[in-house]
Amino acid sequence: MKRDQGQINGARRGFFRVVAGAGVAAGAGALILRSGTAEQEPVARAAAPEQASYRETDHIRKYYDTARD
Amino acid sequence: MDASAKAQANDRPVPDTTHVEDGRLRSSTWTLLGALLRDPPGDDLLALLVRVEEEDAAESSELAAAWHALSAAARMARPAPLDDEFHDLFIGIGRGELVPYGSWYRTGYLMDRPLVALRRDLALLGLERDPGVREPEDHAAALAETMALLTDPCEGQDESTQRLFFAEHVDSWMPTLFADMQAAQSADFYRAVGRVGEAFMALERAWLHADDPRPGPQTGPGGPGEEPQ
Repeated sequence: MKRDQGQINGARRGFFRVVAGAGVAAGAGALILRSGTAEQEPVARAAAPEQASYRETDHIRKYYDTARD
Repeated sequence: MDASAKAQANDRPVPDTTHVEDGRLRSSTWTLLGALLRDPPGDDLLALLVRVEEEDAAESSELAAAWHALSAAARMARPAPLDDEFHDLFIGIGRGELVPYGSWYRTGYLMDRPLVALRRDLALLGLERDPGVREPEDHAAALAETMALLTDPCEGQDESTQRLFFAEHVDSWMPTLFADMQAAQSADFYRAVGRVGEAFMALERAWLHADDPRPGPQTGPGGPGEEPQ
């Protein structure tokens, strides 16, 4: 979906520039924390039905591509 | 930390720098949504939101349009009215106009079976509610925060696990909440938050190849006459 690139570029870049900053601003006061029980993680992974191969559409790929600039 | 170390830490099959960047961006967006759903934004966050409009050229995708609308809303927002709006929307006297809990949206009752299942899954994922917090884990902000943790490229989970959690606990109801937010009488700034939320959920659904749980238009939860427990 090359044709979409010009349309989606600008705001996505700015969007992610801002959310990256917001991640810092929003970090305090979180409701959910890591409990630090590392031995529980394999159970969670085992619950997943399959290891996802990395799949993407051009459109979604482009979204994150442009946001990285 | 370099990309390969991150990938190894996450047990990922592909140590891909690009993928790590994507995860960081997704995680940051979930963090932002979580912050907006948890509390009315403070001056710092509003100022960040305003900057988007200043920096970006006009363009036409729905998420970008939603983002610009949020930025414009942030420019107009003032702390005291925003606090009132948040209270009217989510807290209220007895209850707010919206009830931002997964269990309520999915069953019509607070703290019902979906919350039990969520607590089980959070425990499996090594996550827990801050002991000082009263809100149940199925509050929309808590779920957005959880997605931020799961998508974190350093310490998150693989995409199949993300997809399972997203489909079961997030995508099953939060798009409806975001739609309700856009239609809520008490909402002004939060209409724009709802629009960004809805657009971002669609992006995440596509990214994770999750099935769309809403094949057609859907109305809000419960309906008239139902009250939270």
